[in-house]
Amino acid sequence: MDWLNESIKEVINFLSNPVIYFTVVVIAWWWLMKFHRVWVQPKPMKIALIASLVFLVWALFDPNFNKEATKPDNIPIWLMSYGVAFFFWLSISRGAKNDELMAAGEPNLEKAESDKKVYTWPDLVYSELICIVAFTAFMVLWGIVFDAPLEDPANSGVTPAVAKAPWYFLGLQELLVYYDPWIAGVVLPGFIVVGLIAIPYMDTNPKGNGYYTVKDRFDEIWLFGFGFVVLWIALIFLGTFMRGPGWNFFGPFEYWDTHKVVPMNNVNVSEIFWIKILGVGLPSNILLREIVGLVLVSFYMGALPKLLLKIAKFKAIYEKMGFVRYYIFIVMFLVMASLPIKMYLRWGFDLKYIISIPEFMFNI
Amino acid sequence: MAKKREEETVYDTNNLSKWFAISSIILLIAVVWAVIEDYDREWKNYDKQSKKIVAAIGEAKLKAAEAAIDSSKLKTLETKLSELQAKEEPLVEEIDVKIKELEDDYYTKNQKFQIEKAKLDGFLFEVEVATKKLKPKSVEMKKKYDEMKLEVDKLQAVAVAAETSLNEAREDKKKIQSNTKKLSDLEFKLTKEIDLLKKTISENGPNLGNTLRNAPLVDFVTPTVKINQVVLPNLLDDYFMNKVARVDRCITCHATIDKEGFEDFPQPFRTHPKLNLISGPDSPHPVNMMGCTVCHSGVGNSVDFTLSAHTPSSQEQELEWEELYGFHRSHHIRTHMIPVDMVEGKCIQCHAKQVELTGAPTLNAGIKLVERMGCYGCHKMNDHFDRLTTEKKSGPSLERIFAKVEEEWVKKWLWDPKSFRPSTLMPAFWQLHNNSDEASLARGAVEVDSIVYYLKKRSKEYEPIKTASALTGDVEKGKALVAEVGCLACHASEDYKVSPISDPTQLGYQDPRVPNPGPELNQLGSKVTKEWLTSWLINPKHYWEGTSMPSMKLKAQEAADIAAYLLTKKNDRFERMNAPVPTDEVRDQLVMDSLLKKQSPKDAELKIASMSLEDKRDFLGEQFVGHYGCYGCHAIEGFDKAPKIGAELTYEGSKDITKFVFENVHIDHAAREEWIYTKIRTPRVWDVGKVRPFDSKTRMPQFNLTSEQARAIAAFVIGLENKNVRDEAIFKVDGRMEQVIEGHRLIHRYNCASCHAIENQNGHVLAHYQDDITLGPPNLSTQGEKVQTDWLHAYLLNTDIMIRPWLTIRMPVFQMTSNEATDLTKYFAAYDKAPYPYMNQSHKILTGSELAQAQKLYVQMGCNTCHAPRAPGQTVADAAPHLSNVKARLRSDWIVKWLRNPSAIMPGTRMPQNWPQLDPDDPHSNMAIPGYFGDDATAQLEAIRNYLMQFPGELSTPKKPVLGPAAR
Repeated sequence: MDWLNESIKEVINFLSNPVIYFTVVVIAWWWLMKFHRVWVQPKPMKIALIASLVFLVWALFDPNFNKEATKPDNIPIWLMSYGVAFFFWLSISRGAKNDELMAAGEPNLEKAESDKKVYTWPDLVYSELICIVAFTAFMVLWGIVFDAPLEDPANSGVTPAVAKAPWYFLGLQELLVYYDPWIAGVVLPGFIVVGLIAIPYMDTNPKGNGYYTVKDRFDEIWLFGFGFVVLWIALIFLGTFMRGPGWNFFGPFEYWDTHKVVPMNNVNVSEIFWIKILGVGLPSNILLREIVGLVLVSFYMGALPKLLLKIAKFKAIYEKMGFVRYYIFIVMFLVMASLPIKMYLRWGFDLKYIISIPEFMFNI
Repeated sequence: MAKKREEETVYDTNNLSKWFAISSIILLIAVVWAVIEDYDREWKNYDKQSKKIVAAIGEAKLKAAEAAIDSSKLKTLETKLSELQAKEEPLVEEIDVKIKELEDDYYTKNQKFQIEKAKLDGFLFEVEVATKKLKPKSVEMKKKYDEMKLEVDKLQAVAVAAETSLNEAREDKKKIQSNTKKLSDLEFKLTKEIDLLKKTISENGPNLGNTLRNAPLVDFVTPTVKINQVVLPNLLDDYFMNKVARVDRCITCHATIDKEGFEDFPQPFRTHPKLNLISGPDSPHPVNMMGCTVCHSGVGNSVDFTLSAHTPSSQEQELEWEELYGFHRSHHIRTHMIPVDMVEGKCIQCHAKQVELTGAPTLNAGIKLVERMGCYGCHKMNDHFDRLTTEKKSGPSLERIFAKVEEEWVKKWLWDPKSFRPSTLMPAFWQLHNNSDEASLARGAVEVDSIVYYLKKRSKEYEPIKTASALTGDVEKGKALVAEVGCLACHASEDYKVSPISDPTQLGYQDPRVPNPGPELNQLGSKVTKEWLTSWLINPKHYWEGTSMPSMKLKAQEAADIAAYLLTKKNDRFERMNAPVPTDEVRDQLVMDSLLKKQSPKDAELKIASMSLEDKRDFLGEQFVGHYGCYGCHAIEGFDKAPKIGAELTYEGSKDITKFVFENVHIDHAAREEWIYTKIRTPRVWDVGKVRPFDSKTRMPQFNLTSEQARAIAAFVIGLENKNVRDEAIFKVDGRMEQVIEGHRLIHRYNCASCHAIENQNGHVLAHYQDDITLGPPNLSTQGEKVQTDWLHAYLLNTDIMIRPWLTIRMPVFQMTSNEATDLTKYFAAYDKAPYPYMNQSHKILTGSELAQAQKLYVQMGCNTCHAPRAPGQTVADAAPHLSNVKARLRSDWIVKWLRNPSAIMPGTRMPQNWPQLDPDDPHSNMAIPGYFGDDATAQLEAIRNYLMQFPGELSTPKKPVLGPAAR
């Protein structure tokens, strides 16, 4: 039994290695969207919920898992994980139902409600009051049950074994592994903010106002959800539970050993090209040295938007959005897509930077 | 709300109300819970309990005090007081009226003066400004100022006069009341204790006021149950960017730590076990000045059991605490409490200069262990050990080692010292945790061989003293001599086993943790030759100048007897052992490895090819003597100025916990002292499970320590702290203290305390003289008050002077320097607070009838019976020191003190108390001997003293002691 227990844990530790973890999440996302009609039924959802709870209870018996999972700091992560899953399920399941109803020519679920009048009292104020009271009670109880998670006194001479950002930034911190701080810390968050602001101006699909739907907004949901669930929530989860001392990866059942040594043999594109392929040293001219990377990046950001138009889907988007909107959209899209691409390049080829000009602190 | 509208709403109002009710109830429960949580806090409960206990004990004491008070006396006092008060009343009233009038008068006059004075000061500023600017009208202004000043002075005089008469009136009132004041003072004295107890009870006891003040929800206003703290401006908490005054809140729960009478209460209410030394209000370390964390460490500003970082002293206690308090070791805390058995180490923070501290036996043992184990040979620690480094290495000199022992013996000894002598201080370097694998053993064989070769090549010739080498020794006589002359003070012997007595007040006290300075005497037959041993016994310094072993004034025959006895002691198992055999391949490899660190492979090849076997051994020998730091403890040629190889420990006790590497050892990763203890006990355990090149392996050797010994050393190391105590709070070492400390250092060096009773601790040799303590080494208590400084200095340099010829145990010849003798002399004087140097004291010269009387008294008392020269037939039991040298030896004041009550100074002495004490509590209440000096005991005592200080002449001829000829 012990042996079985241990081997299951070993397998899970192995599966939660970032490459597999991220791949599984991406595939799961694709699958969840494609087959949403299947899992939005209450039964599979209940089974998934019960299975996850059973797993949790079993896993909590493991001291290493228990230690990280039950830290007071990490409670919000569990709330977030189940919260996101619940609301995702709620919206998709209602959307799927509406799609069915509308396909049958019947009014959607929100139709009945939206015909009624909504009064300030009691509909708005009373329900707000209840929320205030309930949430206050929740906060007081939380405050009683869990102490503030204080750690060692701050010491300017000692760096903590793992310096983690606040939990809501752990996704961004994960990006630091793959990108130069300048890009991961400044450019990408900038794109996120600007992108979120730009959504209403780019999204010209009028459907889905006032009711849940999947079918009418499938692409939009897919794209936004990929950015939010896969590139944000899943990375926060990874950063919280599977990044230990030294930002090294640790499986959920692995002991967080401060002395873990992980080889880091990452190389730049220029090194791959000049040394590995051509077998000569790096040219001293910076532009010549980085020529391959420069070409690749120029191609990705400059030529790809145009080339993508050859695909029917993008062609359709272009026609719907027009020239300016399309180009803003496609730049945003490519920047977002660059993230998983870079992650896989790192894992697959130990690629450090595509363009690496440390002389000017310019690395991509 | 109209029913009609309700039906139209989106949400059902009833349903909403239901949820509102539910959530409100939950909120209410949450709030009540929060209040309960706050009210029921751990420290509040302890504070409440301690208040209850204090009040209950106060009640009991109050009852006793009220019962004890003489109520009739109190009553008469009270009636007298009221009578007097009634008599005084009209007078007091009268003068009160007068005082009131004078007060008003003074107030008015004084205010007038103050107002004018302020104006004057304001004007003075204008005058000065005008003068500075050279304004023409400044002269006029100055004139005006002078006039104003005169006016103001007048006003001042008036005010002062008014004040004087007011004060006079007040004094008058006091005079009138003086009688009543006396009485009320008396009453106050009588009822003081009761009043204090009543106050304690009302402050702590359960009464309505206190209950209300501590009631839930209102207890934030002015509760009596509150956090009690001591702010310690002289102690600093290091918050890394800033050092701030420390705050200790321990007394919130340990409220009665500094109060007598709580010794048997359970924690946290128990009184401090060393109340008179620590924490007590009258002790040198009161809790409101020192706090607690200065010694105990831990988090002083926490009032939570776990977060204040208590440290359990055993596994069982830890489990108990887990159950009781939900205790766990928090790894976020950098300074856990130090286990109780190591707390004494923290004394060093303020007492860094002392090497011997009263009330800190563990620390004392730790310091002695560090001295004898020679930790300071490799580690820099504190000033004491820095000095010791320059003065003396802890191990024997190896400069002539091969004149003493065989090469094979040295190899076997190095390979495993404990197999030769189980109690050895020499640590083991080989066959340990990290070098017992086959490759390491092969390597070790080469290392040992090279070191021995290196030493042998440099070992000097030595010609032993031959006087006793040809004599035949008697084993039995030798065995008896070992005990008689005093070898057992420094050496253990299996033939004279004494179980150590750990009570310092008992005869034969020996801290079981402190090892003997000399080796045990049970194996010498397997080590040295008769020739060397007799020479060594006669004069150890002949072989090794720096040895602490003194000459025991042995005659040649005595030396031969002892040598014969010692050489019968053999270690057969060791003799059968073989030294490890080095191999050429490993040796070449080691030479190569070593060369490659500095040379290119090509040069190294060339070099190694040019080296002979001897060259290689010598080359490696030097490498390994350096690598293992043999020179830390032994004098070795070529390493006179080599630096210490160990880590500096000057601030080890406050080194950040993150800097301790725990590797695979399963001990508390938050406890420095556990790391230090483990390091001392099993130095190489950190390498277990680690793959490390030879040079990176731990090289600290395995010392032969018990767990208690290692903990005592760890206690010392833990006390080596970075300065978190301000200079103001550090123990001031004055001139006297400095001399005492010097003395302690020498007492450690020469091991005086193992024979003599010094500072109220009996030397362990005295265990052999349980039956008659007068046959053992003399008690040195009050030595500083007792002997003249010149005499003591001369005696220490030349111990041939015999004071107690009946003793068989010998005062050795230490061959100390004159400076050392001076330091010791100063020490004794300083310790007893006696003047140094000694100058003649209060005795006077007796003449005429006084002299005759004194002489007569001397004869009548029969002093000569014991103190006369040893007549034939006089038994040892009657013997006493000769009195002829009293005037040159003893301080005259001390003689009187001694004669009053000899056994108070030297318990067990045979000297009788010739003037019996009448009052056991008064040492000066001696009974006079009738018929002399007006029957005045003190006059008689002084007369005898004076007589001795002018003793007429040769009462005796002190026996010339015999000293080995070579020693001279």
